Amino acid sequence: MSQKHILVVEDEEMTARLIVYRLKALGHRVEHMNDGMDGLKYILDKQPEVVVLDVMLPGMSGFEILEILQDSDEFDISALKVIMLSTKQKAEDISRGFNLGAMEYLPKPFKMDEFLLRLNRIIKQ
Amino acid sequence: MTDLLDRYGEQFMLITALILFILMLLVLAIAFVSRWRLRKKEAYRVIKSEQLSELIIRYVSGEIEVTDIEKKLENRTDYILLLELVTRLEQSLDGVEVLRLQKLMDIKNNRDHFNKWFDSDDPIQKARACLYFAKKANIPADKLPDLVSLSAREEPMLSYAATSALMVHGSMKDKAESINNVLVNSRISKMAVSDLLVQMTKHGNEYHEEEAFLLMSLASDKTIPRERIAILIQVLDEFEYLHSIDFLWNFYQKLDLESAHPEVLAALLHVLSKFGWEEILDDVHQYFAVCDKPELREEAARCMGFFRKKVSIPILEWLLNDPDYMVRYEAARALSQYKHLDFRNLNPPGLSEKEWHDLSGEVLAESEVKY
Repeated sequence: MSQKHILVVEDEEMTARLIVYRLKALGHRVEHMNDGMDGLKYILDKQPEVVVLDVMLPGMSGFEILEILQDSDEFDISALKVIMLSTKQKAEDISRGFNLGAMEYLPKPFKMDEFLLRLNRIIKQ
Repeated sequence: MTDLLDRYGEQFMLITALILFILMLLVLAIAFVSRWRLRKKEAYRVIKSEQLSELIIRYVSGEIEVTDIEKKLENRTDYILLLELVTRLEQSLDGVEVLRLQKLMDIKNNRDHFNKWFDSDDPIQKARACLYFAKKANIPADKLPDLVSLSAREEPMLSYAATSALMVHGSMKDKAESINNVLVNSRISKMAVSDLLVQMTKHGNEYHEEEAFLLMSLASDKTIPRERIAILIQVLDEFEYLHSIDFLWNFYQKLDLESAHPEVLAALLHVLSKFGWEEILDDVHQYFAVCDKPELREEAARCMGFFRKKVSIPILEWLLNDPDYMVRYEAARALSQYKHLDFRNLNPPGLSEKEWHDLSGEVLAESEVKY
């Protein structure tokens, strides 16, 4: 797998640590933000290739981040690959995530192998 | 006495001042040492938490073994930290990682430690031990009767923790008894009760039949406080157990609408309309939409939005003029559900163009950002 620049926006510290650890072990360059505002700022400033985005975040939700990116004239959201994580499993939330540009939506609790599989899939797309 | 004071007064004053000074120094020293110890303890927690987090992540990833973590557990703080970190990680994970985390709970020293706490007289230690049991894959059967007894204790944390462990390991009878204990304990918050009821769903079968029957039987129990019954009904709604509809409708029909608890009525209105029970609509139109309790008018508006019947439109338009903002808002939201209406340009009677523009704008904005 080629090395990617990945941002993990997740406020649950242990979950974020595990994801970051596993992604770094695969050779990716990984950054972590635990706040929605910081996450958005990082995406706009550093333009990572992949974002692992939690829905419920302090400061700004994952959906709000995607909405702002979608409305932005300066940012090309089609170039960004997003995998959303959330405890919300309702169909409307999943479809909302997809409508806003997410390529994968993984409900919590999730299996790490499945997460990596889906991430790998969107990286290859 | 006067002679004594004349002769030794100065020395008395000096000795008193000296004693006061020593006492002051002593108090300062104790305060300083306490603060230092507190900081040291906090610093230890931070460092140890960091160290254990790192090890747990590596262990869950299959790089190290249980024994590598076991070696690092030295004292009470370490065991509590391990429980906290595992609990946090477990909430996000599933499958093989959770099984590995559960093995951590079985470390002998850890197990001995929490077993000792379970037998202690300190309710906080007992509660921690119960939460530890809730994380384990299995516990000895002889702990179950004790957990049921603990669920009846007054201390909210202890009652909650014991019930939480029973939601994982208890039989349906144990669950029923402990939930009953929690429901009658007024010191346990609504949210905590709701959380425990929802925990049942994680350990029952897919359709939650047994759990739904338990909730229904508890809702019929006259000894359960009425405001708690509203929570039971809300959880039935979360289970989406459609077979409860007959029970809920019978339950509703037996209520005297004037004296019934508003939260129970609101919960019933919500779940019955969500389950598509149209028989409720007559009462919604004739009683709830015009009753003096704003929370019921609000729920009535929400119900009409579920059914989207044409006959409800004038009533919803009337509710747009309600003195309570939430009722007006829910009425507008319900009207926005009618696909054939030009919602934005509705301009309902009684509202100025600007008032409608603001209210409908808020509904539309919410529907756009809702998640």
